[in-house]
Amino acid sequence: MSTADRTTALVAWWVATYTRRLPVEVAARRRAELISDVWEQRAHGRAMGTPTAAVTLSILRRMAAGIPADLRWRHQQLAAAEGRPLRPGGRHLPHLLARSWWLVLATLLGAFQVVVGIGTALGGSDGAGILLPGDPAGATRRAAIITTGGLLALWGIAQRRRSRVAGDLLIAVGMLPPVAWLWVSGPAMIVSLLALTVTVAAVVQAAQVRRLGRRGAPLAADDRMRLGNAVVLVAVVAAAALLGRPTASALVVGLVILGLLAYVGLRRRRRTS
Amino acid sequence: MRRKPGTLLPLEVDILHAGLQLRRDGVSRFHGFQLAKQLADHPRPRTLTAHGTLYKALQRLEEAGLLVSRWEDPQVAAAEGRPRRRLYELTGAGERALAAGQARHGQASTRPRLEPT
Repeated sequence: MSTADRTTALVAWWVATYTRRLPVEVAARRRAELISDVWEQRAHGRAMGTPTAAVTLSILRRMAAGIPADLRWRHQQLAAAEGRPLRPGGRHLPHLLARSWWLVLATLLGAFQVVVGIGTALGGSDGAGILLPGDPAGATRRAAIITTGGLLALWGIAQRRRSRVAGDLLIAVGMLPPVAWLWVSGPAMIVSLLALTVTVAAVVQAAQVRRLGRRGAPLAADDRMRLGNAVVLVAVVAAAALLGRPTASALVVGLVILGLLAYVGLRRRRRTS
Repeated sequence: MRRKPGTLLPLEVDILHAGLQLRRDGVSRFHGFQLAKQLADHPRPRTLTAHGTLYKALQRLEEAGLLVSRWEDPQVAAAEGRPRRRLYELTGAGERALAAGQARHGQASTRPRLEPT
């Protein structure tokens, strides 16, 4: 199965998940529309000669960015099916989940990293090749990186009460080790994509809090998109560097400089607007 | 984004505008990805709209009577070896809602009021 096929399967899994227990016609329509959309996007990419990786990344971004809207839509459909009105008080939990879904994911992934890291360290290098790719001799070092990443993410979640920005950035950094599993086939790749999604969400949230958009206004949708795409790029290369790839390490330095320049540019734009 | 009752969100205005553009280009019925592509190219270049955001907005517009949709003939899809498309079409009410907003504010990216349906 190719990466593009896996991505299609991931979208199909997600739409099947959030349409569960909805009326049959409503669920079937949404599933069929999404499957058609992804098929059309892949066909369009092939016709235009767009690299498969770019199409795959675009599909993943569209899926991840639409998760809050998917959850709100599900809540509305459930309410309509059960004949109950949508009230602000009555939708507290779904509303909270729609806003904080990435924090739930970050908590699960952080805990998962700690368990995998400690388990690998205690159990030796057996099985480390699956989740901690690379030279088996370096499995202990990679286990330490994974554990540290998990602890950083969990610390970041706790830290958000004191400083939202610091907490979000800690979460983003803590998600980098599992992003490295992007090069691993099987379920680990799904974990990697989820970690990438959390990284993007955390950095965008931090930027929102810092109000890098116009004064007093939230970050514009286009700026959020640009920031998200930049974060995906930086996170993937940084994750490759964690695996000890020298070219990637050099790229990380370059991308960090680019990121700082973008940050300064956004700040300047905010001041002048 | 919260809306004032009876108004269209910017994305909904952009969808109606894109639907009108497609019609002028000879495409009276369009599917979701076609619309996302049109939105990404016009009126200002941007990335493809997220799945959840796009289809939720399409449903709202359909419920407001500004768009209508139907599944295409399964035989057409089977003959072309692809999944069936849900085809959307701009209604007269949708065109009027868009035109009213454009006339009031003199540009496409405004928020016209929804007409009662």
